[in-house]
Amino acid sequence: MLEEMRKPFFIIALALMLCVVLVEVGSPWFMRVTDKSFDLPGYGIQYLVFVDAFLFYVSLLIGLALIIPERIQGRVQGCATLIISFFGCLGIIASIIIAFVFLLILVTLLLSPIFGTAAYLAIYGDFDRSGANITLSLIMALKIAFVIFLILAHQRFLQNKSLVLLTLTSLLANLIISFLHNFVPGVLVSITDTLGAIIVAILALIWAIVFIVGSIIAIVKAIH
Amino acid sequence: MDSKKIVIIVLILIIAAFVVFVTWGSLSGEQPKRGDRNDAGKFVKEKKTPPWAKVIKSLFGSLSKKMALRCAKAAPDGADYQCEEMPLNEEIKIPEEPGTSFRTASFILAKGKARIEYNDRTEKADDFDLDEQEFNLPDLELDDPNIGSIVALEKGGSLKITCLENKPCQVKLQ
Repeated sequence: MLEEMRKPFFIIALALMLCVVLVEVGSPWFMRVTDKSFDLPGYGIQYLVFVDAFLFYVSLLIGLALIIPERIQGRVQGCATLIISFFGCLGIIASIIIAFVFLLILVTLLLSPIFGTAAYLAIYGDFDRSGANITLSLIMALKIAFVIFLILAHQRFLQNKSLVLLTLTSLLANLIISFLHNFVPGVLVSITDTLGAIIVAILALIWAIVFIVGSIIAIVKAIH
Repeated sequence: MDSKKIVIIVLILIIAAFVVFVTWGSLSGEQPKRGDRNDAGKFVKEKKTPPWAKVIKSLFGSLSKKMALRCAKAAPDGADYQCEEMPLNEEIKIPEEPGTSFRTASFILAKGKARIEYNDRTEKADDFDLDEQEFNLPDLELDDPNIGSIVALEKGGSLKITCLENKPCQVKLQ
């Protein structure tokens, strides 16, 4: 399959996915903020990086097969995936805890009338929905382009179930954040954004566990 | 159906759903905007608090940080509140807590009518209209007229609870 692959299209797809990851990591700079002295919402877009970093990693592994001999890659891939997934898993769990604590602060403030509610509205009531929508649209466009270039590179990528499911998870995560930003009353977006971040992080955690199990099986097979 | 066609259909559905979400958010009248004390009053009065937020608070609210205050009479063991009786007619200091942006304290009126006044020392409290917080209990505009809350920012401040109409009152700390 690798010999028949149209390499330029694949490299473009890889570059697009890298752009997605960079945009997500840099998303706080795109958002307008009221007061930087408080912990700020906007976790939703940042946490998309957990799923998309895995998608980039899987794509990168396919790309590495083009330059590294298969025998060496087979040995290294299992260990590398195990290490990356394990530390990824720890990072995701820590991030879920951070988002959860922030969610509790937001909900406690909102439900502590009258001054808790006033503090919530003053500090977190003006979530930058337009900025978030622009960023999410850019990410979605890059992801769609990634899928198109991946298929153009080789149609047999469609038979790679884990790649297809991970790509679908990535697109679904985008939709979840977009839904939670746009289908609630304006003042509640900070809360639903954080809630969305937790949901996306849980999806990424499931993938991290799948990768850990998969890599352990691969290592055991390689040893035997 | 061939897998390429399925992918194209799925992509079109995802794009369509995404466009609907973004358009809905952009065209809906209620855009996020910074609110003040009056908006908070309106928000509470119109009962805009979503039920799912209440569910989150009821499930995990006990995990959130409590404001430690001096009690006139501590709550009995196993009670779901911190103070049985708050000190009346005297200044209660809320100490500084570096690194903590917010602390909330909710007061439950158990008897009579009371006025709660809190002054926050944090410089930025003024920017958010949280430097002087005062209200009476019961407050009939609230969901629960007998419960009211204050928010202390990082540097804390001073709190005073007084009884109204020269009649005895009792305020608990949740």
